[in-house]
Amino acid sequence: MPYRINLMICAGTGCVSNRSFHIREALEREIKKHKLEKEVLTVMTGCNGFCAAGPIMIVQPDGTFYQKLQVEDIHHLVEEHLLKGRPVKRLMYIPPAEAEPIPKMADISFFKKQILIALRNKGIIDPEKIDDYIARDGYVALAKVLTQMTPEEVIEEMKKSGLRGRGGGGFPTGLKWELARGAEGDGKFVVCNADEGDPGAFMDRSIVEADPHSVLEGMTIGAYAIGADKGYVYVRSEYPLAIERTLKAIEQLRENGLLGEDILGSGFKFDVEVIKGAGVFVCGEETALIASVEGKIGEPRPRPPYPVEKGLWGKPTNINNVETWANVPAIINWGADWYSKIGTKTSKGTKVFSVAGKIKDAGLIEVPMGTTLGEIIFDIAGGIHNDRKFKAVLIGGPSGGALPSECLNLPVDYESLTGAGAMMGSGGMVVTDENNCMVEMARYFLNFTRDESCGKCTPCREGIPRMWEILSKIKEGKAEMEDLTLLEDLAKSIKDTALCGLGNTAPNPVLTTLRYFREEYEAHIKYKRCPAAECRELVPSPCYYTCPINTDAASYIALVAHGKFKEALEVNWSENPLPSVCARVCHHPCEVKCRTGEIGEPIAIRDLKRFVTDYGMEKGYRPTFKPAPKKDKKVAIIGSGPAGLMAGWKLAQLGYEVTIFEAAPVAGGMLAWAIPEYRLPKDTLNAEIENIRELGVKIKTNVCIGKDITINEIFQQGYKAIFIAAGAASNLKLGIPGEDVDGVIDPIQFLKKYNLEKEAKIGRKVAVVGGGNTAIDAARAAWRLGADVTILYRRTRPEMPANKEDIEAALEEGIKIEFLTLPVEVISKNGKLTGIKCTRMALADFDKTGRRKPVPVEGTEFEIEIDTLVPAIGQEPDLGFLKGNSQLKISKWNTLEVEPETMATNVPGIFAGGDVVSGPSTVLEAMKAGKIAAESIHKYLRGEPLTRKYEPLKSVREVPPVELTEEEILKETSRSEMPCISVQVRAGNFKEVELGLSKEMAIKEARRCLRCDLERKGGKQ
Amino acid sequence: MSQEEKISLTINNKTVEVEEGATILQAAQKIDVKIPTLCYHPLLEPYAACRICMVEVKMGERSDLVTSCNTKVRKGMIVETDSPRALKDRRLNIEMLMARAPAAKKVQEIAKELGIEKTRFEITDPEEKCILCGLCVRTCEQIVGANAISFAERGKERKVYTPFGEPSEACIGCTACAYFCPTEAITYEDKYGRKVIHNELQLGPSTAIRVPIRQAVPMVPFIDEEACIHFKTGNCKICEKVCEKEAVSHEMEDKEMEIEVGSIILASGFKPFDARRIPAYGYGRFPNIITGLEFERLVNASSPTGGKILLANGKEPRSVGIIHCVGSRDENYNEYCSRVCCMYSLKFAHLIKEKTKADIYDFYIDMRCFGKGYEEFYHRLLEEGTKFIRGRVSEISDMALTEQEEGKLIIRVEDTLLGTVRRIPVDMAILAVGLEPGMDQNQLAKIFNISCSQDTFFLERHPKLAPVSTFSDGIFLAGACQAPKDIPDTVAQAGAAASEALALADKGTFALEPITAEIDEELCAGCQICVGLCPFTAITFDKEKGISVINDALCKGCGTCVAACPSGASQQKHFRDRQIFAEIEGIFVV
Repeated sequence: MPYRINLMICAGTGCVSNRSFHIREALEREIKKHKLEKEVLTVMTGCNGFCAAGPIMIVQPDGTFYQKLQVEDIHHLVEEHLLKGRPVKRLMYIPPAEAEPIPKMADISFFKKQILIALRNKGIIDPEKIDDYIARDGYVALAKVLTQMTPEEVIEEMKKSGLRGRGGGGFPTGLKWELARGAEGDGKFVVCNADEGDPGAFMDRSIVEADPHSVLEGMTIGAYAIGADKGYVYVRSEYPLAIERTLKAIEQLRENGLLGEDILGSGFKFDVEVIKGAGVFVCGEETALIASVEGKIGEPRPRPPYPVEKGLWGKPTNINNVETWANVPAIINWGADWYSKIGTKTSKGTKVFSVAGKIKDAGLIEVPMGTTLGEIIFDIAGGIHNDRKFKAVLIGGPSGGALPSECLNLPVDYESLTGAGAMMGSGGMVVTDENNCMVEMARYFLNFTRDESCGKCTPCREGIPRMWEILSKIKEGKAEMEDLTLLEDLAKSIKDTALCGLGNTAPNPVLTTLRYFREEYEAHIKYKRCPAAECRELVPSPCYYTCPINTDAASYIALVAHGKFKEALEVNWSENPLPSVCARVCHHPCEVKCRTGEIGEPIAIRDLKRFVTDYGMEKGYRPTFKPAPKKDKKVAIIGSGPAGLMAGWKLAQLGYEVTIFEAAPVAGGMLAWAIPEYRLPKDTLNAEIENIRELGVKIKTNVCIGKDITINEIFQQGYKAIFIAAGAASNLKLGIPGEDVDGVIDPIQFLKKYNLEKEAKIGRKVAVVGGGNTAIDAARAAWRLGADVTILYRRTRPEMPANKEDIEAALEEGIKIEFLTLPVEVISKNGKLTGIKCTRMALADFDKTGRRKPVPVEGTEFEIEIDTLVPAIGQEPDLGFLKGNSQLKISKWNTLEVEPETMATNVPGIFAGGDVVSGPSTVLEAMKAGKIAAESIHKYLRGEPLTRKYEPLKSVREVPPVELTEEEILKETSRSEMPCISVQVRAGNFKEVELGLSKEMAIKEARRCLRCDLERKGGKQ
Repeated sequence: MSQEEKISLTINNKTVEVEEGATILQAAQKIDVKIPTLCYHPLLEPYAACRICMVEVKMGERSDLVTSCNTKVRKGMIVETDSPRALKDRRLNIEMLMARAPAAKKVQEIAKELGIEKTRFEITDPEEKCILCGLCVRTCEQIVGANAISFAERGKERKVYTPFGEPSEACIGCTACAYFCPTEAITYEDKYGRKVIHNELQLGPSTAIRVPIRQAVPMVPFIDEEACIHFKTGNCKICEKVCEKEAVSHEMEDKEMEIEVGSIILASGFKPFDARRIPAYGYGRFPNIITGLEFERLVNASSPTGGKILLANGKEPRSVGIIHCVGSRDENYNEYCSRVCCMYSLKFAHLIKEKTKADIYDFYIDMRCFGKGYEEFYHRLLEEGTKFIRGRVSEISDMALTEQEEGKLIIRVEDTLLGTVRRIPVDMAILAVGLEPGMDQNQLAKIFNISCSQDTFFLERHPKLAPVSTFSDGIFLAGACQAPKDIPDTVAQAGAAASEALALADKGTFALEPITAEIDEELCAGCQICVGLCPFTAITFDKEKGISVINDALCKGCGTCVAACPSGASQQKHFRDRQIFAEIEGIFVV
């Protein structure tokens, strides 16, 4: 190599649009300035694949990988790396959740699992130079074929390799060639199908752009094998770069005698022409493509006859897709045996995928067949954007299907994908997360096929728009269940009866989403709910909508932005008697759905709530809960936790006389004695309970149901209905040997003691088992008591169910978390705990929730010396209070069974909700249950049927938008960080950690809101 | 592959044998199993787009839905045309087509057969008829070859369109598209006068291949080249495909034949006077003004109206005017009397009286009812109440002056018996058009070396002594080519002509003219002036000798060549110059 350093700059479409040509100009300027022209060469390569990181540059020969380059960086880069030999860390790739950059491309996980065959030259050669291609063994295969092999031998080799059509159908390539060779007639044709056009797919385009010669060489070999003398490359005109590079390549071939008459002196003649397609999706279908090349309307015709018998102008025609052709020279060069070793039993070799959607590292990849979906999405593409939950991956674009988390272990090969209801397609993969509505997703793809249907056959032309209409109806919450039946019938019928592949596969997105996400459809129809909070007609704003008790967050955010804090507080009070509590302990699902989070960080909605409630407290504002006229009916509530308080508050407002029976000495349930005061100060909680009391709700503490009074006795005292909200406070055991020794303590009891009595006994070296909020609370409380705390968790951090900010705080406080660790045995001496034996876990296949299953790694057992073990892996309700009321149904999880829509138990007049029904869950879920139960009790007491009527949620308040400054509009602003007291101050006390936002911070934060509630007014965009 | 090879398959549990290459649909039709179709037509290539004809096919383990219109039969196929799966999909597709084209009757019919009453899908255009089956487009492409229409847009927006939505230049106006349309969705408008209206006397549509008229002899169809699609585009030839006897050929051409005959009878007939030439009579402008021949066709039992006398709007006329002498006895057109109009007009009046309750006005100049029984017929009509008005009609218009005249045709006439100009409102006017010589009369005369009179009817040799002969021996005249005649006269003359011809044939010889011209070979300079002048083409030029030669059998001794010959080589036998001078001298001697 005459140059010391080659700078390979990506000139794929993605990087070009990220100004990679400007980068090159800047580099050359700098290189010239430093007089390095003789030593350093810049090369524009085809698509590198790691499009998310563009523009990309690789420094060869050492393989340093630079990403997201800006023209401003170049001066520094050239000086440091090229002149002084110090690679610039700042511009390297840093994996998510890690601090250190990875300097070499080969070490980046995105590239690690890939095997490059079709893309063997990507990023290595200049696609516009035939010499580069030849230097990489280009046209060796052609020479070999023309001089040493008969056409039959070539076909035999292809058959042996097991290569199958990469356009999606998966027809064995060798067999196709054989049929084409055997077909009667002269003047045969080979065609390269580069009409890729499904949303989210850019494989073929990238191959042609990165390495046009590999495709042309493959075509020439194919032409020799089948006996064709003319070839066509059918490229859509939306791919100008691909067209330009192919044309250049053809010209170079002609100049070099590799195309035309008597190629390489073998007597074989072949020529190629580029046909520009008008960008019609259906022209990817063979017969439509043929019609288009012939100059007719690009419409499919019924098959048979197949193109290999009667294709272009009635002559035998062999059509293969770009990727198939690009594989051919490699197979000839390195042999069918080598090729067939890669992949699975039925699907050989590799497959190129374009991975896009809600993932961290979008781009172009090539993996061996049989790689699982999970590996592609999580290991190569880096997992889901913003660490949200994976929902589905759409493979094969509008013709493919949505595969859910159950399918993450599915190996990618033709049969497995078809079996799961999707298809290989040309290899577009669009990943969706929990914020993507599957109805909307299906509708989106149908919208595409609806537009792209040629309209020839009835089912496709008429049926797809009809399906789209039904999906629109569902999405708008206007559909009935029979619409779903019709939708399914239509989908099956279209799949069965459409004329060509477009129609046959167009219902796949609907069919697969119906198969895997039927409950989402039903939620839209029955409950008028969009679980992903995406469908505009049902979702006034995602935050408001997602709130389990429907606090209109969008409104109070807007009011804060206007500085109208009191009004904001009133918005909170309207649906929630415990806003100050929620402002501290809510798991804020609203922030997950926040649209601002799609483009940056979500709005700190909970922190704004905290600000508003703090402001109210400071100003001494009191809520003005207004009860309805008194009704002479009494309702009893068992348990004064969030569910009980919510139900009591609601019922009291409706005019009922409400009494809450509480077994503990204080009201509040888990809020009072499980959540430590550093998260939720007692004063705050008590103030809000006081508000509820003032409304007329009586709370009788220290009343233990089953002991002091039975349920039947409550009825006898004249109560007309009972709401059981007794919570779940019975701790689950680990189920490992030696658990029952001194030193193993129940986290609930520990927290109760700690919270109520401000003192609890804890050892010096504490291990907490679990990853939920209880585990974190117990750990942090123990730390405050001076213990050295280690959390043992069997999975990894992203899978921890506890609130993210609490995990972070725990880590900050110096609590160690041993991830991928499972206790297997409690070690004790003389009945006293001395340590715990653990094993390391490894993440294996994905489970149904889309998380990787941890499995023990053999031989990794180790011991930790501890004196206290807190097993906090979950709780269940303690149903001992039901004595004498055995007719209440109990589930196999030891929870009360209720009608989930009404919270009614099987006993008339008794309702239940909260953790006692759901098992341990969040405060807000409990409040939601309380709210529903109160509504049901109200209906029950009025003698109405309990069934709920579901209506789409409507926006009630309209707050005008604030006027933003230019800077606010143009600049991406970051989220206001919640100020906290320092770790040093936290030790040994119960001081509230979070201080609350200042007024300025709150207003600034609220002004970041995109106000999607306004966008959705009237269901219009 | 022998053509005799038969394939056996099962359709709805019935076994059927068909030839290899047949489709399932064809096999089903053979055993009367009905499969509904919309986009299929036996004359067009299968299109497989409507997907209504899908049937379930079992081949071994596999069971598939296939379109029966294009799927070829295979041995051992088990076909179920109405399997639950096929029916379910067929119903759904029909339901969707019902929503697309609610006004398409054919779809409604199939839906009814499938037990569907209403579509569950929303209807956007209740008037829509087009189901986009493409029969029209394919007809225009595959059969007509004009490619004047095609599909535009795609998906749901797809529609049949002419280029840019403008009236298509490529359209030849054959209307085959409308004919093939199963749902009557295609209408057409003749923008450029391209549509060929196949008319039999403007009274009803017919086709490009037809029997010229009902009573035509011979009674065989012919291809109207002007209307036939094949002669415009080179495609089509459907008639060839459907004619089982393979009797139709587009390759047949006009041929010249030489037939040797002893005598020729010319009976080339007449043509009716074109009433458009008299603009004042409004023919061609008002639909209810018709000619005598058209009335004759209308009242014929095989007419489009079944012999009923109806107006263009389908109603019976309440008053009819019959105008005599249209184009006859008129110095602007023809001075002669056409001889037949008075009598046929009277016949019309009688027929109208018989078939309708209309008032009849008969406008005449003179009533020419000569001959046996004719005058009596006239009297009978007078008694029947036909109103005869003596006078020439000056104008027929629709310009009403009074309320009574509103919506009527007004005939303006000077009643010469009353001496006043009258306006007679009628519903229908019949123009008794006269007879004119045939269009190619002069040409025929030239071919046969005969002459025409001043009015271009053929000239007979002698009006009294040789009324059927011409100046050319062996050529005779019969019928209206010689002069206007009615049928009895024509038949009589035809009989006479035939016997003249027979007499000639019987004799086997005919007498030459004794007085003919002859050429003096010594004097003839070969100028060929005589050749061009001879009215009987009796003179030819002998190239070898360089002189003119006279055929004695043809020469009638008219002397034209004698007078014209500049060298005096042509001499009339018995009338040579020398002889004539001798005669003159003789006279002086006396």
